[in-house]
Amino acid sequence: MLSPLRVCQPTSVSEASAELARLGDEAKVYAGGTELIPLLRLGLVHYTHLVDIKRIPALGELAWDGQTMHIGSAVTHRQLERSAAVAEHLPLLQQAAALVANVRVRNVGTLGGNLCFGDPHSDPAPALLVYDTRVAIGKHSGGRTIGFETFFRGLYETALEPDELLVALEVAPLPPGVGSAYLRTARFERPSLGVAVAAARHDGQLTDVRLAVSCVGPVPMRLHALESRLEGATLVESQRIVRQAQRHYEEVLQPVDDLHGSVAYKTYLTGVLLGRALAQAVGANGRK
Amino acid sequence: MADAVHTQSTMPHTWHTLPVAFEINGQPWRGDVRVEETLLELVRERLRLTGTKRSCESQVCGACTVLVDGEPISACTYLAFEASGKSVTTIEGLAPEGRLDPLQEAFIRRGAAQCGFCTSGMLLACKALLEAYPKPTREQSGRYLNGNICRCGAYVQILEAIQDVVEARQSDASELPWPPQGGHTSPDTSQANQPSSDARMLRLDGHARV
Repeated sequence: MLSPLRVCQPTSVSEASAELARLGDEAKVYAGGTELIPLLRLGLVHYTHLVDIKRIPALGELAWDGQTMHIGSAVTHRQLERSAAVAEHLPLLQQAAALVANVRVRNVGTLGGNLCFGDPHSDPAPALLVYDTRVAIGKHSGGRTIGFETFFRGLYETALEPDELLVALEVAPLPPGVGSAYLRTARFERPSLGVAVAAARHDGQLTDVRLAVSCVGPVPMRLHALESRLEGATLVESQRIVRQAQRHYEEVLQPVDDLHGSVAYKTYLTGVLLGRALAQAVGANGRK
Repeated sequence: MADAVHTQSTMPHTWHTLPVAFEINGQPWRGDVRVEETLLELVRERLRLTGTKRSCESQVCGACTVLVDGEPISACTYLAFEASGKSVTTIEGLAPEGRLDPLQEAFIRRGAAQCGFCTSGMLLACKALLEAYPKPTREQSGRYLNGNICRCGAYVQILEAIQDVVEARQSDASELPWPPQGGHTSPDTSQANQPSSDARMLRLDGHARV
């Protein structure tokens, strides 16, 4: 049984933000509830008010404008999984969305909820890191836009102020000819380790390399330093580099030992999965 | 109404109960629900539709699967007010007036239930699967059903039951094949007096219990 709750159903971002500001720590944004309701039931968080944001039209929009995919934060994983436009322009995000938990969670849970919860064990987060993704944030007194790479601040911590809402993600597809792959291990409902990769290959040399890793550290991250080392390398060379970069992963990703694995296991597996994902991104093998 | 204390403010009202109207198994339902009331609590405790099971309460096991507008959801964490204006199907709605759905018939014939606790949710998930994929491959079925857990391990028989329904649809047969085709452990009447541990048993009480 859940403790008694009150709900309000604002119809604009400014209304919702004003309500969050008024209620302070008593209120939480509520969309699908797939993260929030279990936490409330377990007594891990305590709120008396839900601010239901699903009646705000902008948050439910999913639209392609010819250059950018506009994804409202209340769009469900299932909508992303089934959208022909997402599959065509953002295949990596489509694949990641299709792997979130199970079909019941995907039917109700939203992309914004997954991201705002700030759990590092996120499927869509590494995919969005590989794309050029901007985050539209709104509040009662206007809004701001930040790069997705600065959205996660720590374990369960995001760049959002208490009275701010994640309104939408603006996601640009990869340049033509650049392939992508998302690989993960998942023994529980959430991924234990996820890597998202983009790369192209010209005359045997890798270009446009982008590497993102989730789950290993407190926040999903791009590995920019490693990416630049792979530019111009052959696939075999780059696979060797990513497999031998375990100390680098340990320094940059800040992994901890937990139920998903030891630090040594996670950094080893990061190299293995990145190597496989690079091969898949450039179409060098048929493995899934 | 006691809730309307903020009428002079521009703030939206906050409610602790909401009036909702939705369709449950084809019948209209109207009433007030508490905000924290889950759909599982509503169907089991107020509507007395106890075919929907409470189990993990964290969206992992699938025992509480019901369909909302044809899509599976976990009733344990789905707030009842969200069903407003929608159509809810529980296991009781799969067999209106006692006439079993072909999937239920196939489950009985294949012995796709043992303890039966996952079965309500499993059947509704299978129903939604066959809407999404009219002719699912084994991989599609497995992926779609990966959030419905059967601790007795009837997965093979469940997948066979799905296949039976697909084949029966294709051949436009009103009756499912009996004995079931394709399973190497199908019951064989010639062995009726020599039950072996790996022989699949027809659940003779299946109809009585569903």
